[in-house]
Amino acid sequence: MKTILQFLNIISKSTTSLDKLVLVVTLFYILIYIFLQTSTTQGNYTEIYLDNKLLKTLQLTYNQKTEILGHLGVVVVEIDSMRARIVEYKSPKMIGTRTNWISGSGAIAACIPCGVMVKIVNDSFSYSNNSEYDGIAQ
Amino acid sequence: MNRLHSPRKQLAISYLAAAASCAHVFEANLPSFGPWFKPGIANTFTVVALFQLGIKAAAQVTFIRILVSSLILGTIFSPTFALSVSGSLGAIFVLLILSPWIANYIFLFRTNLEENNSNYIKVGPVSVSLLASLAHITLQLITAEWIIFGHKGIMLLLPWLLLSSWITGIVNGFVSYQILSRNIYNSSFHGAAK
Repeated sequence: MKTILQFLNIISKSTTSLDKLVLVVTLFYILIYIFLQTSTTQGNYTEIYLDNKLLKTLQLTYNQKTEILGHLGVVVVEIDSMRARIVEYKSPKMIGTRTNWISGSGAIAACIPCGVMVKIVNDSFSYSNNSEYDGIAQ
Repeated sequence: MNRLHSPRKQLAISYLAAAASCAHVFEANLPSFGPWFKPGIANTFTVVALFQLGIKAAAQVTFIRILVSSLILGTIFSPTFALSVSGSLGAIFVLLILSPWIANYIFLFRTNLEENNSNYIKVGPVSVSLLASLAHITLQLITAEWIIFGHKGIMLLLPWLLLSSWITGIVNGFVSYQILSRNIYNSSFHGAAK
């Protein structure tokens, strides 16, 4: 308790009123941004891009593995239980692999040095955006 | 505000740039804390340069740091270098905007930033570091989307990266405050310049 109070005292002394306002306002906006971003639905397809070109579209309902030849060698895209992930082998920082499983619509996992990106999509969104057809026609 | 003059100022800039380069190289060799997450320890020295020496010195420290660390790490003129430069340009732009409102660093030597009433409407190292880190990551991601990926999907990572930048920005801001409040330049830079 004493340590926490000392820590809060240090924070209070090292910031001005404007600093405190900036801290609160920026955190508030970031949390709202995260809330808006994460309130998405479960995806049902995954799109695999190589150099920003759509290479494959795979259904998340079938567990499967597919190999993509990226700039640094083979990158495996694994689909399991309605989620997908990238498995890299030669990427310097393995950022795509560290992103782990993704499942929500709009979520992405990317390996920049390999040029490979995996994106989860929900096809109902793309249909609903097409205003020329109603639900029955779709 | 008391500013250092050449060549003492040049010496202070070179000290800070060397320290920032070392921090950058050290950080690049640390194990990754998570996807796209970097602590940004080197930016501490940019904030110190801004408060002690002004915006021009802060920009100099930043660009010397990028150039030297890229040469050491072998990433010069690579996509990583482009990301570093773009992020730093964003941070410098924010520092440029904030520079008329920065708190007088003389008051940082005292224990409380708000001892002087004029500092109520000023920003200290914490919010300078925070806003610069937010601008840094935003510009980096825009550059990654524009130069490397060309796909807007990468921007979905932005809110999470902003949250990590918020934390690291505050931590680096406190570190900068501690460096500034210890009045390092008076004890070391002055002595070395004599």
